Amino acid sequence: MSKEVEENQIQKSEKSKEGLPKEVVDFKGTRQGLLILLDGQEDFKVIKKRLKEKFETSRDFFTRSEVIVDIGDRVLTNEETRELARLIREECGLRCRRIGDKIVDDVEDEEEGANQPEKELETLLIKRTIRSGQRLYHDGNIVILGDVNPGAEVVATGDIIIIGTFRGVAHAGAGGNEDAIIVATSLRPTQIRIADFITRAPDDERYGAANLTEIARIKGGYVVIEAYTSGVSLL
Amino acid sequence: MAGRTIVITSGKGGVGKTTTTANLGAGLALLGKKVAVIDADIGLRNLDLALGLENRIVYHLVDVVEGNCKLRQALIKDKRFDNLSLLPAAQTREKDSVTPEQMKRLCDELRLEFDYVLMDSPAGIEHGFRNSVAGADEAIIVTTPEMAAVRDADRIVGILEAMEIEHPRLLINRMKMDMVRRNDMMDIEDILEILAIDLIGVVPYDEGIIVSANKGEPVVFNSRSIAGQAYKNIVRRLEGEDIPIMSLNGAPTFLERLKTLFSISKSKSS
Repeated sequence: MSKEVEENQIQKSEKSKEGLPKEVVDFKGTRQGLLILLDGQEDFKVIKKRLKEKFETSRDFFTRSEVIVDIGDRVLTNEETRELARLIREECGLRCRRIGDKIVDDVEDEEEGANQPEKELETLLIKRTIRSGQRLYHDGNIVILGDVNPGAEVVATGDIIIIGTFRGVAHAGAGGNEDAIIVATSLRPTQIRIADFITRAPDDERYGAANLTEIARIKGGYVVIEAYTSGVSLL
Repeated sequence: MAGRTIVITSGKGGVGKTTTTANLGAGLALLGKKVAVIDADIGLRNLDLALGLENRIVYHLVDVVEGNCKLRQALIKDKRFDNLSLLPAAQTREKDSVTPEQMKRLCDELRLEFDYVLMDSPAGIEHGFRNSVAGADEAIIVTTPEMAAVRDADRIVGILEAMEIEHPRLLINRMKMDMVRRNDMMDIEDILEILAIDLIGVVPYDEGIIVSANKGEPVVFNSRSIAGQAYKNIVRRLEGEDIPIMSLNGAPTFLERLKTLFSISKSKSS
């Protein structure tokens, strides 16, 4: 389709909905990130073109946020879903979390298609103290029976559980999983990161002596640390 | 005008390089200068602790050099002074993940934006030391009044001269004048006689330094600290002011006064 025809179509579609200010592509900021609303009827090519243009004009507004795409009552093929995810990632460096009812996984949308269920994470068990200067990375969950000292770094794409005292830097959900949690029987971190969120220990506050099991997770856009009660739903 | 880059080094470990870097950086910031302090001790970082900024580190020097982040993202603004910034070292990396050429480029970038760039050098004379010196055009050598520290400082002076950093200046740390008076410690003159370089200052032994290091509060912020005063004087000398070396004789203790009396009477009788 030539450029002129595409532009004509955009104009036509905007004209035909006079009175209704609804755009073919609309952006909405939400707490979870960026919500992209796509018109349910418009031609897919037009939608892609409009999406690119909108990203051009508002590129800097959306650093860091995650994207959920609302496709209305449109039905997308796997190929189209992947194309959309790639476009959003390449044009604006944003990670697409959901398109319609499909969960988009960064790795999978490149290799196997977007319609795969989330893969089961492997868990790594470590029975020793992680010391300053040591960095532990695992694509999955990490369970540590031992302490993590200041200057040490534990990074997992899934959850991090520490039976011991945690004093270092923890990064759970590395790669973007905002549902990841960090649990320690004594949580005194230098810094906690979950997905793209960072929080640090307060400067003046001293921790109590009590060995209280605590859990860190994202709630309403913040990393929240609170007492861990067994049996409480983690999601 | 481009800023000055100064390396703080010693050869021997544990003589107070990090404390000195933190205090000179903070002292210069107190004077309103724009200061960047760099922890060049990759793998054994400490400067963040001396400034109380350890929990703010996200990116570090190696990240900058490898292009994982922008320089601006890795610089941590001090919580007390906007014009003081820290570039932390990587703790989980090796010293040889950075080359002297990369350090030089980094310093050249920093000096465009800051009045002072202070580099905290690691102990030793190996790769890490050479990295820290690469971007510097001035040097402050820290020593304590001990034979081993002075000998290592002498070695450093020689290496710096070979690397064409002219006129390094000497900072004598942890001076205990009461011990000097008892002839139990090297005197300033003894040290200068061996090293024969300009003295930029003498910092007295002060227990408050240990407390302030643990708290992450440089001692220059404490107006009652004598070591803090000494560091402030050094900062003003860096700025070109002519300030006499502080007399550290202070008030001798009662016992010392007695001893002085005795030694005078002894020398009279002999």
